[in-house]
Amino acid sequence: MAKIEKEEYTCNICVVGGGIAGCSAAIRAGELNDNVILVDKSNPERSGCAGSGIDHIWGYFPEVQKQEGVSLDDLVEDHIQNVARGLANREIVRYIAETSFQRILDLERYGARIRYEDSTLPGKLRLQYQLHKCRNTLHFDGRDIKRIMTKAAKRNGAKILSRVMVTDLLLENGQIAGVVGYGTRDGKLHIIRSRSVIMACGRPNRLYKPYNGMPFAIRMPPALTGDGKAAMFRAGVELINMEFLSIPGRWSSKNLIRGGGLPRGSFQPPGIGLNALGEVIRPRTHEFEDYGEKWRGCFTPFGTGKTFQSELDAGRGPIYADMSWGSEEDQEYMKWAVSQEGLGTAFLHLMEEYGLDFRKHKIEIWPIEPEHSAFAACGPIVDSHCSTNIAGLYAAGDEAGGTPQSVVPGALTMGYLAAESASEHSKKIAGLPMGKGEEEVEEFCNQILARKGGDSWEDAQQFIQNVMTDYNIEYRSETMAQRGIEYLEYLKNTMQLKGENPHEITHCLEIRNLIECGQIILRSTIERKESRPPCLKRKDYPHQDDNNWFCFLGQKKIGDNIVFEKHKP
Amino acid sequence: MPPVIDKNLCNACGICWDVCPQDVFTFENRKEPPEIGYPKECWYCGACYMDCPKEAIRLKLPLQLHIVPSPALYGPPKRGEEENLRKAAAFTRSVIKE
Ligand SMILES: Cc1cc2nc3c(=O)[nH]c(=O)nc-3n(C[C@H](O)[C@H](O)[C@H](O)COP(=O)(O)OP(=O)(O)OC[C@H]3O[C@@H](n4cnc5c(N)ncnc54)[C@H](O)[C@@H]3O)c2cc1C
Ligand code: SF4
Ligand code: SF4
Repeated sequence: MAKIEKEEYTCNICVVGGGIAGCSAAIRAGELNDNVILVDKSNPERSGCAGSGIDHIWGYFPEVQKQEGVSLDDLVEDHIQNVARGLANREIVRYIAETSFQRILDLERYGARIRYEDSTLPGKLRLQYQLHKCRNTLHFDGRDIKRIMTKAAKRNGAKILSRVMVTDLLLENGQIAGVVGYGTRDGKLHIIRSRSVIMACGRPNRLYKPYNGMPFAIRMPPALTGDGKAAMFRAGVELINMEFLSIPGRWSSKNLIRGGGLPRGSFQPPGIGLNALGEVIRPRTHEFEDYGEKWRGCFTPFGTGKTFQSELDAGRGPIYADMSWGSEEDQEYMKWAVSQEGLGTAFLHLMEEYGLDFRKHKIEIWPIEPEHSAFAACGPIVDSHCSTNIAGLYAAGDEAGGTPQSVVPGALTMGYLAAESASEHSKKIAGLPMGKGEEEVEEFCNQILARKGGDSWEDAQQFIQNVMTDYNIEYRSETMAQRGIEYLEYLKNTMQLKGENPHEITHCLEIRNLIECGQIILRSTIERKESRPPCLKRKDYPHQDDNNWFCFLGQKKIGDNIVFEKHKP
Repeated sequence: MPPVIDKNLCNACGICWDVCPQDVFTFENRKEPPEIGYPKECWYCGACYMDCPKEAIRLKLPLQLHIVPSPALYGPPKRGEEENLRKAAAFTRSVIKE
């Protein structure tokens, strides 16, 4: 019988996931002269949320914010109260706000363009209002940011291990000892022994039926299947916020365009939201009190008494983003911004291929599939050093729980911070730990290699998406979630997955993690006995209950038991 | 087939295969253009299109992802609206004192 081959590596710090958080960690750890391996499921040059670009980063820009009379404390408070609705890791939010601009200046040193002649703001920065009540979101040339950061990580000495999907953690006496992963192209088991580990695998995607019917044409990167969170949970790490979820994830056009060009998201000069009758639902000027003089904020009502959803409900859908007006400068600016945003260059190319033109056509937008979004911020609970509850294990960026809408600045800064913490920890560990943890995945792969025929991973994925959509979206309740858990347990015990090659076996391993994440989510849904809009709506507990549930709800495995714990943020 | 390779332009450098986050391409024979092994797994991220040094890649949408054209309705700003819109747009472009 064919047995899986193994390959071993050793390092001081192993960074898992080469998104912005992982690259930032590898760059900083390299600077600190640590022996670093950065493992990525694909290729960090174009992997993760930011793989094909990002167009904005929020932060505290001292020169501009001081002119506005906004202090760092004001921004932190604004983020925690208005963006995160009170539930956020205050120390980390503060760290992000305080250091984001420093990390942006690092990006400039590595070669990213952040300054523009036409800007009349200090430093020639293009700064927009986005999430906060001040002009603190940098619009910049971020299309190739991942290539730039990967290069910087290599220059600083990090070894990049591409096309390895980490599946489990190695532990020695309850301390971290490394990770194990599956080679998505070479089909080998890669065992990486290290003194500390930084997890940065992003969000759990592909859990819900996609609205366009195409399992991989979703808004979030489909390569990300909650592998980090599932691996950590199996190893005894405490996860929080797993029940939180945005329904819909966003409004998009066939998931081919993100914020770019749409009213809201990253703001575009000429973006207007219309209903099917051509009535303006979201005026371009809605965020301003005195038309361009004073900013009201993007979370304010549109001022027309209508929302996109209310128009659909009233029978006046669909909704369109109309970007046809505006000066040539406005149009140019918008196209530039769209081209920097993830998937945006591809969208402009597709518009050209299919004869679409912003001046001539409006773009239809739809509410898309649910997401464990930036707002949900699910993942391991971390302290102010990005440490998890396992010694030597850190989490950063979208992987970490409790920092809503930390997005790119969160990934940049937490990656940096986690590298500093991991570097300190590694110094204290004398010998290289020789932990275990690869047995389960080795057995899983060997069974697939030995199996002739069997169930396809596609069918299993559809099973999961049906369960998560039917039992965890519209009719969320204890009894529905309980039934959902039974379904996933049935799938786990019944499926006999087949995989003909490493590409397919990778998908089988993703199924293992999607089931794990699905069950965690359903269990937390049952445990949190309230609704907490917009991220949790239960039929059996329709009201928010701040007295009992203003908390992060932690879930962790101890032996065969699962325990819950409430944490005050 | 989401990415379409023009075999006359492609030099078989393998960059598209190297960067694709979804491993849509297969590149067994390193001398011929890559094949589109897993077309249904494309994310339409455009990495292959952007990074191909020969501009040999175009993206093609399956029918169910077509964006059916719809004429712009808003047109030029209505009278009295123009100045406010212009200000709001310039404000967004970080051009404040014009
Ligand atoms: C298209 C798009 C555009 C966006 N634009 C913006 C923007 O302009 N500004 C903004 O602030 N936010 C934006 N966001 C959100 C923001 O990009 C993310 O929050 C941020 O980049 C997250 O970074 P990360 O490093 O934590 O995770 P990710 O970027 O998600 O990276 C995760 C990495 O982990 C790797 N990985 C996953 N599983 C494994 C595994 N098992 N083993 C090894 N590696 C693994 C992946 O390949 C990937 O490289 C955007 C999101 C999307 C999807
Ligand atoms: S990147 Fe372009 S030239 Fe290189 S193999 Fe791919 S299609 Fe051919
Ligand atoms: S568009 Fe993105 S996902 Fe699709 S083939 Fe190209 S690189 Fe791969």
